Amino acid sequence: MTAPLLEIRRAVRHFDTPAGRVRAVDDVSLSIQPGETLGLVGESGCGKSTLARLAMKLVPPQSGAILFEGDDVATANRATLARYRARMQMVFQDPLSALNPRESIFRILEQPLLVHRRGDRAARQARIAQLLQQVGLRPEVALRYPHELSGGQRQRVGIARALALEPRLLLCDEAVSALDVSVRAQVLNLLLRLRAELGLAALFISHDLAVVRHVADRVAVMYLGQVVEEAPRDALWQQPRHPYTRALMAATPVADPAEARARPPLPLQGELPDPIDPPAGCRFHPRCPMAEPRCRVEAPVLRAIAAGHAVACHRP
Amino acid sequence: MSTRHPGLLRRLLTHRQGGAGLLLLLAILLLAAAGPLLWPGDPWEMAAPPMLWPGEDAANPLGSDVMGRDLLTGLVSGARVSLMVGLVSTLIAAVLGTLIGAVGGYHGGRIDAALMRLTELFQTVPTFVLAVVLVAVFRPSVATAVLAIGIVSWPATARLVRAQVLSLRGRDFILAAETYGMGTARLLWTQILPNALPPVIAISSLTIAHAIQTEAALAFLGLGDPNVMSWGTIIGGGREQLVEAWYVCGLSGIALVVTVLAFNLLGEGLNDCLNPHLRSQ
Amino acid sequence: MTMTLLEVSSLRTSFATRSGRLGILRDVSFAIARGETVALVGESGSGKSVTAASILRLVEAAGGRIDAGRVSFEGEDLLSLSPARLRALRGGRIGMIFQEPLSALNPVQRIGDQIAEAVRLHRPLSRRAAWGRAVELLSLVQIPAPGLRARDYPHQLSGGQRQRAMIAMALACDPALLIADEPTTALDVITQAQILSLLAELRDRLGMALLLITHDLGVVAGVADRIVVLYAGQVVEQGPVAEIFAAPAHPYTRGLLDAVRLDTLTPGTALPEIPGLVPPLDALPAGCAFAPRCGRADARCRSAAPPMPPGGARQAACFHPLPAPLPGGHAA
Repeated sequence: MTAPLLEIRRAVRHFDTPAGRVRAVDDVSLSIQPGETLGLVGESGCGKSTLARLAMKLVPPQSGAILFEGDDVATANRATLARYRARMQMVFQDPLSALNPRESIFRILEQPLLVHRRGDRAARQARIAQLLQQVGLRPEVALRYPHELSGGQRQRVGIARALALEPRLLLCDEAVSALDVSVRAQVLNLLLRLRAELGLAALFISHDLAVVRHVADRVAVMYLGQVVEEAPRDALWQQPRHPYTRALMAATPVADPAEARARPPLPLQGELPDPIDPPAGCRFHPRCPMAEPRCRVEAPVLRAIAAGHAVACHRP
Repeated sequence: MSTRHPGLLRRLLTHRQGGAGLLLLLAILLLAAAGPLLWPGDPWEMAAPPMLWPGEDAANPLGSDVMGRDLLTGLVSGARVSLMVGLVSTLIAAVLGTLIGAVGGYHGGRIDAALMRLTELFQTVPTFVLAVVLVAVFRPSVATAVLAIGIVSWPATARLVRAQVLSLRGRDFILAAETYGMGTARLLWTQILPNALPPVIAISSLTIAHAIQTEAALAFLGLGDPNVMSWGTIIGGGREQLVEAWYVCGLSGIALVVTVLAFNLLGEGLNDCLNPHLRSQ
Repeated sequence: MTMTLLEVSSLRTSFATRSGRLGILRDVSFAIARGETVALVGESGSGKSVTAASILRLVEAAGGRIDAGRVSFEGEDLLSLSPARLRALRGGRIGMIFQEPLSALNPVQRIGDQIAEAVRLHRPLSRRAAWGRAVELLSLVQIPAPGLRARDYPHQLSGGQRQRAMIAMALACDPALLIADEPTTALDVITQAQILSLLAELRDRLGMALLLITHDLGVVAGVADRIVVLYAGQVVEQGPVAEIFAAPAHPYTRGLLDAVRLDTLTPGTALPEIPGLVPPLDALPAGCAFAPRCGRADARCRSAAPPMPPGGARQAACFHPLPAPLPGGHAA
């Protein structure tokens, strides 16, 4: 294995709220190789978005290390951090919220270039034209404002901005979840094409298993701030080992009336517990159809059960 | 695809209250600017018989006060003072309030807590009493009045800016700017403030209206600049003859009310026209 | 079709905008039989939510106007009902649930009180009896410990439980029709599956009809009996769920289906996509609204709007409908 591009080692991030301590990310380790796409799935509140923000150091981790190309981002100074961030860029869920409503598209795309002092005005103009073309937008879009664009166009602008500084890694946080179904395919295709053309690595965060299956090389499943299973894509779908992964797969809609009707009822009850006071032992045990007494007291550790396939369960 | 939105001025003119306020304000500005050319002379000069009623003598179309000073010259001079005091003190309040609100809202934590306690301190003291004390402590002059009014008017702006910055702070485009390494000052200046300022502009026109009233009240109490004829000075001077010559207080009072109304209408219009949610409807 | 419960015909609804009236619904017709589940599918701007709001004339409060058409429910014309009769119908024979239960519930009132109030609006029950009914409804929607949860405020419940509470409120008076506007869009996958199976179960137990409004065809495959596809304010295709999924006739329906059939593709390969954008309603193309995005469109499609053929369980408004069933998913 080559050196990972991004490596998160035992990262911990808790948030103190008036109601108590939210264990958003609780001892999570992940790595992404150059050119690889890691899918991260889980329900809202499982900590997957916090993990992306940790990787960018938008929120600092309380403990653990975040290594980008071997250097620790968590302890980097301002200038070094700015350099890392340029090589690791983020695509957000809601493209309208992610674009400054008072800036033209040109200005939005110019800002990262200005901040990093890339080129003179003519060079920036040329780069912006190139970016727009790369994401499939016409050059005159540069003169428009975010509210004048459709959702899909806005997301293309968001992607263009993320590409402006020529990153090696894209963090896509629910990047296609807010889009209409017909537009979603366009944006996914764009991401797939750019990934291939530019050799990008990606952390692809989504609650939609079907999308993750399509774009990811490896997949990590998070539950209440922890990774419960991690495996190469095909291995995970052929043989999901954690009961939670199986539940997620069983809950994903199938677009086939006969198959959908023939499905057995969902094997688990209840909803994601409060992240403020997670259950003792295995955090999944109150909802798990296979829980045994041991699961209530002893938290399972993530351990390898096959090449590249790890699961945190006493009864995988 | 929709076309670009029409400019602010166009939108303001088609807004009923905003358009009325803007036109009224333009008329007042025009009077204040052109007045000294049309009716030259010192407003303090006793140029006519005392207590001349409006229309009695063509040389003093709005009459004269108890000292025989021409009322029209006084009103025009008062308009200049009122507008100047209103604009400059509001500028002071807007700059102070925006700075304090933006820094507090952006940094949060202890800095924010300290700044908000300071804001509350200013808000709990009645503004007019504070202004009176400030002017009385220093020598009454236009400059002290402007400063005093500016100092008592910033808390509302600070609270508004802070709330705006707090809500913008969590927006993804601010996060995005951080992800490509934008520094704090630039982030505040290019990303947050342009989005936080429109309501500040709207509230500022209300602050101007309030500042004009405060200045008149100070002058009425004799705390105005003794060398400057303001509406408050005229009203203060005319109050002894309220029965025999009510027009002295009446006309300057109307001038005050109309100006304050103009700014209030303009504020209402700006509030609607600068609000992106109302704009698209 | 036996026993039509709701019939919407040639419905047109418009909203006032800065630049004049904008037609949101331009001829929407469909019917729901007793006990049947119909899914109204469309993207944002297709008019699916406005259709739901037009049925109960809720659009009027939002500034919309129903310009033409008929909505009849159990033989009554809803568009000419008196306000009192309409109020009795809303929450009575027709229940409604929304996408975001948190904003649809009163934050300062206990869940039980809100449901009891909904009951007492339509039935002459004592407070105590209404509270009992509220607890019964909460257990009907499978909320654990309903007696305790009834005393909770909306923010104390999880997202899924809030949606269940909304459903309980909509069921307060045994409606014949439940309109669910994107009931699972704001929920996670597992909760979504739970709520959908709850809705199907309640439909079967209570014998009510269900109008499911959604943007996601995949979600309704297992629940709906019939599918109605909306595009730019018009019905472009409708038919039984199995037939629509097996052989969509309208190219747009086919595109929507492709978008939710990621599992039939080789991972990492390009997805079939519908090119272009949904046209803005104030700048619709002449002819078929879908023509600019359609691979099968010709000169005729660009000049004349294809009419919906009359009658039949299966209809598509297209001059060039797709012929044969999809062989095994994706070979074009």
